[in-house]
Amino acid sequence: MGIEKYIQVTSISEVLSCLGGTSPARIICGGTDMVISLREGSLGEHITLVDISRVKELQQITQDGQDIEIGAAAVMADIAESSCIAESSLILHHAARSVGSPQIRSRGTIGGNIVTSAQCADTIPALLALDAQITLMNSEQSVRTLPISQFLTGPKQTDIRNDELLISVRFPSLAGGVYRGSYYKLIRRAAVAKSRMSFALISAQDRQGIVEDIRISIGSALSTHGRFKEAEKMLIGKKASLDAVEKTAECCVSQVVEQTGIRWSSAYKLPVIKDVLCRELETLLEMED
Amino acid sequence: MEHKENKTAVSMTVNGKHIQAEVLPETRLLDVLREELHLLGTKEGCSIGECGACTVLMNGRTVNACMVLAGSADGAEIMTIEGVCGPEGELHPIQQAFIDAGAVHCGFCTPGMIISTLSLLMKNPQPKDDQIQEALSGNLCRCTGYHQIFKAVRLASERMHRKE
Repeated sequence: MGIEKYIQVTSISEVLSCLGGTSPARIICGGTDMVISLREGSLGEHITLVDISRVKELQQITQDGQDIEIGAAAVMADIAESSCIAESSLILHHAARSVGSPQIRSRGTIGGNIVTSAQCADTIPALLALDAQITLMNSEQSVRTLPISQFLTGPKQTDIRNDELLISVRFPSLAGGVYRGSYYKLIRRAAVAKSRMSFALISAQDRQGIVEDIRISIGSALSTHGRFKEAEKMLIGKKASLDAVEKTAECCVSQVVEQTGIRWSSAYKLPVIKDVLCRELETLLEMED
Repeated sequence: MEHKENKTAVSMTVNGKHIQAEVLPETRLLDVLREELHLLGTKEGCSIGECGACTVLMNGRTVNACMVLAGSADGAEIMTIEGVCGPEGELHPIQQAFIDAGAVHCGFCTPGMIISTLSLLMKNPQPKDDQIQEALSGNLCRCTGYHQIFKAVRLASERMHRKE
């Protein structure tokens, strides 16, 4: 295998000092994807690996005013078990808990899930629905913050630069009772299987049942991870009804077809997207009689 | 071909004993356990983190030893199946329960199953069936012995609870 150098670091500044050189280093943390890629030889030759699994400052889950900040090296098990995450995100703990198996959740990190940016990444739809922001730092220690929706640029592609480290992901807390959320993962087997599709929904309604906010994100549905803004607009400001929910779901299906075209999987995926969305929205929203 | 100059020293505690090893960057925790320490109870099955045959405890949590680089385990506390029994080699109640419930068929998955059971019962001494299912969801048995394995976990839980 082609690892030329393996560097163990314990602080962010140490990681950053490894990233500035001419032959860029690869970051490894939990290793749940990277060790497999290394053994397959798909990472290339003569690489420098920087192991950040011991950088404590990247593992914290903290509340900063109204925002919740999760360090890039926080493991899925910690996110799944965090009461702060459960209360503030309504859905992210479910997404983290659905990752792989207990063994994988002990090591796999949220930063790895984001940066790998696989279509089936379990936490990404949840983070999109939470309007999460990504914080990056480069080798000169300058910070860049951007919405996760802009960071994810394509299948397994992100906007991260060679000398940048993903520091954290943050989102405004939804704790307090107005917001509701649901996360549903469609999968062949309950564990250790790639998600077929995952549905992350957040909603808020006023006392009259008018939808004030609705956020829809579906993993493995679009070629580039994103929200279904057109469909969301169809519900906002209206009372939720079976008819409105169905039209919203149909709008999501249209967006999928528009972005991905008709594929071999469409005969299965499109009706499932519509049916699961209708069911999830009907459960989530207070419906008009 | 080995690049000796590329080796680094790692140290960790394995089953209560402090150990040191010289490893290549790509050496995995699994390789250290099996090749350097000759602890052959931890099995290599799929090598991609799906079967759980290589499950060990690392700092109190279950991990797939096939996906942890030895360097990442530097300084860690590791427990393998060899560390589960008592000081005189007496079987742990979980091991005895696996035997009594007929939960060992070919035996390849058993060390991983027992480590995952141990991790579960440490946190949750009287798990419900869905909790057992979740705790063992990263361990595959291809002899279709899940029924007996679940029985073994329940039996171990009962016996350990009665002892307390």
